[in-house]
Amino acid sequence: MISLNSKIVHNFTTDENFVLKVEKNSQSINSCLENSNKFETSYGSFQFINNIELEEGEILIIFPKYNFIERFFRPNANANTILLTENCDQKCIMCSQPPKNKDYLYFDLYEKACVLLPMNTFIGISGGEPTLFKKELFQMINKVIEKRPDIKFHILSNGQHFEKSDMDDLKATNDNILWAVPLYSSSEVIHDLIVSKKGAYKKLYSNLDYLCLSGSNLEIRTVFMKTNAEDLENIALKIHKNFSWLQVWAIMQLEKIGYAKMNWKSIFYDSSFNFDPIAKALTISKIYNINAKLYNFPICTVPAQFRSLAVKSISDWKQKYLDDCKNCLVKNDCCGFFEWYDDSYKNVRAIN
Amino acid sequence: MELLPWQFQEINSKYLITNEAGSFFFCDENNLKNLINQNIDPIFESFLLNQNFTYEYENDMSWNNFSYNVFKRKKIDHNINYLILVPTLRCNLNCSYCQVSRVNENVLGYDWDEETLNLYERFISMQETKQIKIEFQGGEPTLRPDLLKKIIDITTKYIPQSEFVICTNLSNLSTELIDLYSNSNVFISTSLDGPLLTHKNQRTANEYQTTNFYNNLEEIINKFGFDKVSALPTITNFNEIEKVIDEYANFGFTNIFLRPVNFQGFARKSFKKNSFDTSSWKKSYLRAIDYIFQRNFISDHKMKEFNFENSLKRIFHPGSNGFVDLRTPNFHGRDYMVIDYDGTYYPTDESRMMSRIGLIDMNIGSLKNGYNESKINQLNINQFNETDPDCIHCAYQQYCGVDNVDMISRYNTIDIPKFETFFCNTNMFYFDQIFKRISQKKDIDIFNINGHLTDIFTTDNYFINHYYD
Repeated sequence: MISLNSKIVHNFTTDENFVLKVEKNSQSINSCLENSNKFETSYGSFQFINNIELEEGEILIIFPKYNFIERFFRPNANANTILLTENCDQKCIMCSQPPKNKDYLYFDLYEKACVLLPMNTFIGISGGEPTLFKKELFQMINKVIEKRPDIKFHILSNGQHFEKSDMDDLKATNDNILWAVPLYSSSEVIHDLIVSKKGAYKKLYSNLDYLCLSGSNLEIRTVFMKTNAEDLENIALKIHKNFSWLQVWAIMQLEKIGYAKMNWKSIFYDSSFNFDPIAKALTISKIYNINAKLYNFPICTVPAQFRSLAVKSISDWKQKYLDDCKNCLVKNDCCGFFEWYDDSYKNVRAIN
Repeated sequence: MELLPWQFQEINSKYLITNEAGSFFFCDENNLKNLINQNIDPIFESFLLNQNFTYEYENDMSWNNFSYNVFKRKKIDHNINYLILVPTLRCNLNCSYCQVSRVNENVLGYDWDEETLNLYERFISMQETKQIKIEFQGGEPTLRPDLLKKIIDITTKYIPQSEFVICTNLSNLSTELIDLYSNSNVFISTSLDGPLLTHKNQRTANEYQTTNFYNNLEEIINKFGFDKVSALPTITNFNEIEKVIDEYANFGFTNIFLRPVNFQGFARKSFKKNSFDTSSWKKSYLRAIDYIFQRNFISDHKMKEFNFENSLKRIFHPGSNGFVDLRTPNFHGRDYMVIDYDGTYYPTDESRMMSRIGLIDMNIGSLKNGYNESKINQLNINQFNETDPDCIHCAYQQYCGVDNVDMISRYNTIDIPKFETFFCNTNMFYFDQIFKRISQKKDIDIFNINGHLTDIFTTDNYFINHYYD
């Protein structure tokens, strides 16, 4: 696994948190240069306690008081994400990151770091529920895109907190944000049950009106489980008749950690063994031109005619391949498996 | 409860109800009357809400979804994204129904010259589009591979995401051309009229040219595969339509565009009977579709017919506005255009032919002098069906389109009732076909409709939500 943060030893002349960019040829105040395992910056030098190799172009956030760095942006990563908070007002039965009362609200640092990003970078913002801090979040994004209109954000949100008064912010940021919002069932009762919040479905529906009217980009995410497997067709039809303006419908396999691990037996549906419910939903999506994608589905678990929809969705730092994958011809296009995968699929095999 | 505007049409003694967004369902006469009288029970109301025929409040999700799809159906790009270029008018064949846009191979003065090329560079450098598709028409464009290369270089210099389709009779296949074809953004479109004899009679004339064409087509397919090449038949003998399909299947093609001989140009004189005879075309087309459907049902080699596929997409995929013969609005001089051998602009390839035979002057500018805005505006006054007094009553209005060039070419005027025109007649027929099949729910039809829409051939009926029984 790739470490996303690390302890350091340093001789910084400041206690204030700051942002750095790993750059060989730059005189910028933010640049940081490697010199035999030591990194030189304009505030002094630092060294990792663990063995971490930084990439050229990486952006770091430094917390001198805590002797700690966050690797904010790695150029070769398939996704770079800001974890804003671990607080959430929903408690989904398959949550891979159960809520905790912890926030990481370094908006100033995130803004400074974003300004240093390469052209056209996509930055994820996730939680917990990021829109619990929507005021600060919109402020930060507005500041970033004022300087860097090319930067785009992919925000994972439960969609519960938008209000009419957010319309101006939503409109101002609509070119720069893709909102990834979960819809788990075509039935109010089941959706509310899955997210453990009464009224969540109704709230979600009325809030998606705001996203539509503000011209926002929408990704609807549906985690595929025993609980909604037979309902997946109906969700496809719901999307066609209510949200045909969306950008992506992501059907997602489970990540066996957190609550998902706890509830595994009652929720995991082995799509490698029976893909039918998904095949039906995908066919409906094609009939109505809904841009459906499969996240977290290893390619070998997907029938041939749907393989092109399987996205390399698992972040590199928590992704692994199995021994058998060495012989697979499509390994490079495949999302692989979560680090914590443990033989849940009946049918996994190298494709050749 | 307020109903959004809707239209209806009788299909197989059921009623098809459609709206501007393209939503549709079937119901019986009783429910049609209930709709008309707004006598709607809660179950019907909830069905109508789910189908975007009504809404709970302004800007709710049904309203938004409806509006979005209406907008998407009507949206046409403001930038040019599709150009037909005629680098030369010269051709080395003399096809029986050539749509006149040709001169003999040895005539001088019918190719793009240096000045045209420079003006083209100026034109393409000013385009704001991010991607463009260029179709080389003729004449026979492969008579000037050097010109093709130059045009491709100029275009990709300014618009890196460019695609090129060379429409060729495949009589030439020099190493220079093969080099050109091996570029991944270059494609080939050719004519294959059906059985060898037909192709010979209509196009290649003698044994040598015919064998040459067939050899070259096979060589191209073997070298580059079917993704590289598409073929179009021109059907003059409607009785032969199954043989045309067989020929395409034998070659291994998975797409076929069944179209009757075009009306424009000399073809009008040589094939007068068939080009008028819509009812015999419809009969043959119907036979052909059934033939293809049965073939697909039993064979692993699946084929899709273009009219059927495109009409389905017009129904199910709002925003399928890529086929410019079937969309509305269909403004000229907006997102596509023809540039002739002398740098003259025409709105469509048909209008270029009509201008050339002197029927009407449809040039809308040139590389040298730019657009003739007032003429474009004049042509565009009626280039949409939204206000046509006949179309506004039609349940297929939002799926259909408008083609005034075709009207002028057939009737010398656009001012005749739509339902009397070839355009309306054939398209009504194509849509009737589809809705009849959806309403009949026969396995073989569902199998092929699924296949044409999604490439997944299955008898699972996913259209249940379109029946209100």
